[in-house]
Amino acid sequence: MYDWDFNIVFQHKEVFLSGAIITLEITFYAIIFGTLLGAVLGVAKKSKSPYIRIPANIYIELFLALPILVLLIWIYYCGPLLFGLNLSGFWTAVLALSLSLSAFVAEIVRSGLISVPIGQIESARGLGLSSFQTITRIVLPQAIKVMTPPLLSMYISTLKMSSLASVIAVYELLHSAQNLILSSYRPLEVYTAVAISYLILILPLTLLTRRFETSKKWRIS
Amino acid sequence: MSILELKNINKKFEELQAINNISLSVERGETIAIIGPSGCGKSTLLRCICLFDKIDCGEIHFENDLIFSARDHNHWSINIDRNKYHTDVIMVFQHLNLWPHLNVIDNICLAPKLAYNSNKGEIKEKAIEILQQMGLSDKVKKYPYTLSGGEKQRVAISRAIMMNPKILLFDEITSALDPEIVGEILEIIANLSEHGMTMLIVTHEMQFANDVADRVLFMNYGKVEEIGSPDYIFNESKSDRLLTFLKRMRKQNFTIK
Ligand SMILES: Nc1ncnc2c1ncn2[C@@H]1O[C@H](COP(=O)(O)OP(=O)(O)OP(=O)(O)O)[C@@H](O)[C@H]1O
Ligand SMILES: [Mg+2]
Repeated sequence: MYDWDFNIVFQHKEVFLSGAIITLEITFYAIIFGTLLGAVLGVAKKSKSPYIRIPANIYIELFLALPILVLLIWIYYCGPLLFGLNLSGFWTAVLALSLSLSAFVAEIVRSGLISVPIGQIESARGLGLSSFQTITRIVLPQAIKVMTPPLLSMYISTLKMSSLASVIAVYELLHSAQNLILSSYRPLEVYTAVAISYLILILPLTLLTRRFETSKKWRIS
Repeated sequence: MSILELKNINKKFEELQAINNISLSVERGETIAIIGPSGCGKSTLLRCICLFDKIDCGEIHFENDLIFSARDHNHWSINIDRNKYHTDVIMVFQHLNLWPHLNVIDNICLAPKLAYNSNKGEIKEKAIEILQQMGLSDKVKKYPYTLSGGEKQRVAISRAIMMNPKILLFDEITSALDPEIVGEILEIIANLSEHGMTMLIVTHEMQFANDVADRVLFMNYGKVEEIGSPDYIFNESKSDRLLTFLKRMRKQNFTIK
């Protein structure tokens, strides 16, 4: 019978803490950049001009298809050679996660926007609202309600995927923990603690998603 | 003096001539009922008047100003602030299009708040008063999805009235309602008519057209086939197409005295 000893985890709390902070930082930046870029792409995908629409579509299809791990490693090793990119592991991870996330966000934004019926826009314009007021007062509030649950679940997935940064030696949660294993020879305890740490990080996001999914203040009749 | 004048307006959807050279002069305070078979262009006519559909050819005059003119599909000009025009000429749709994320009072206050500089308290007071007249006092804070069809309809009408419009356009607003509620909505419209509102009303209710309208317009294949007093349209006209249409409507249990 294996003799569990979690002391090692408690003795090295700071390893988990600093790892968790890096994990959150990577996730935070990826969510910011990925969402902004994705929102622009989602609108571009609806553009009437093919010069905007087609490149946006190619970009989206490409990054929907590429596994993040492949993207991450490719940017890390080929980026400096091909584009003269000189990014740290941290920013490489942010870049890869942002690119991937933006493609998903684009799809979510597009379907959110088209979920608002044309009649909603006409009734707004027909009562004298300007096109800007129509977008901010009528379209966005309705689109955001539709987009929020899938966006939050993409954010959760981004947080999980940030663990891939361990393969390019970023000291996020997983990699910090692996380092600890090398010195302590206690992989079972450490990995258990890693799993629990991720659960703790993700729990608030999951709860938030549930809240949005069940919010009943208004719905589309 | 006419408030709205259409001169030879035309509208094509690809090869389909949805509006075929219609001219019409609407007097201030007049109520015109528009009748005609499905697909004859009734909705399109209203949509052209409130500039949702762009006419291909013709002129639209509002309060003696030429506000929209077109020579062909590519040569047209609009000579009015659209947002302003939309506070004067308001369409109420069959599908109502209440905004689901706003409660009843916000639904009817949003547009006047954005359009006019009058203070919010005044607007709200007016809203409460209108909702009271509409029998919606207990629905002020309710969201649209909780309302019945007739209640939604009354909110949609309130929302239009809040703007103090000069012309109201109604597109078959009772056709999605249960027969018992139709009467109550029609009563509201009849009341507006008595108070001098200018209205164009697309309707399948022949009795209502007969009772409330000053003039009835019969459309067929995008044209004004007949127009005149209710008495003329329902009793005197010899137009074959109109007689056929009325006969068919009668068969569908629409009673005409
Ligand atoms: N956006 C559009 N694109 C193409 N064709 C259209 C469009 N809108 C209307 N039409 C066509 O124009 C014609 C007139 O349509 P319209 O909706 O004005 O008829 P209607 O008299 O209101 O009919 P109903 O009583 O069924 O509502 C129809 O044949 C319709 O198919
Ligand atoms: Mg119609």
